Amino acid sequence: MNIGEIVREVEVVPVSEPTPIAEPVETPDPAPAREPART
Amino acid sequence: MIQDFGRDIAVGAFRGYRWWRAGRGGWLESPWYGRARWDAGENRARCLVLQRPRRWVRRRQPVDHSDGPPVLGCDCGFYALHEPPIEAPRETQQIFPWQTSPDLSGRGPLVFGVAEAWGRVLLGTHGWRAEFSRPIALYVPQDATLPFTDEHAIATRYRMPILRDLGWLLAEWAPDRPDLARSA
Repeated sequence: MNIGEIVREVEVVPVSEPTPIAEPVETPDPAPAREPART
Repeated sequence: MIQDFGRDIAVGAFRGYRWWRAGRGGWLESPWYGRARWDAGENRARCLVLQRPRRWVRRRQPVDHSDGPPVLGCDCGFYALHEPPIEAPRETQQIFPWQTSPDLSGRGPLVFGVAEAWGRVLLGTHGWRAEFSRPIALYVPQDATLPFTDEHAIATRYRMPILRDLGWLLAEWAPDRPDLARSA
């Protein structure tokens, strides 16, 4: 092919595919502290 | 004299228009010099040609450029154009066969489409030569009949769209016009 006059040389760094991010694991709320029994 | 441009850095890929030969099994091949088979992902250019005064001769062994193709003083690398080719007179096509109208894509073994390029790229006023390339979209008209394969085999092998309308290819996959002015 005739690409004409070469005017630039470029180092082209490809964009890599994004790494899939794992779904966040839902952690249960901590159990409410039991009130101390009244004596 | 070979001009030293220095080398700019860019992120992403350049796109360009080019031709392939659609071979058996849905393989795309370089159509004119060497018939190299293209993979779906990364294709790295090898210099296989030796320029004679009027024509190209294929070498048996790759030329060992220290940095690999494309090299300014050679003509190696994957080629593509910034604009679709314009049909040239038949006598011109005998010398420059790529100057064929995209409307003829798929009317024989040649198919027209868009490639992207990365790695070392030499940007010309009408196109580029590149170290790495891959096909990303093809144009094969609805009524075209490829002689050695069918478009479904190509689409499956290369996992890329095959557009039935040239306007769709140009609208969706056209190359961005690269900035030909060297950055400071």
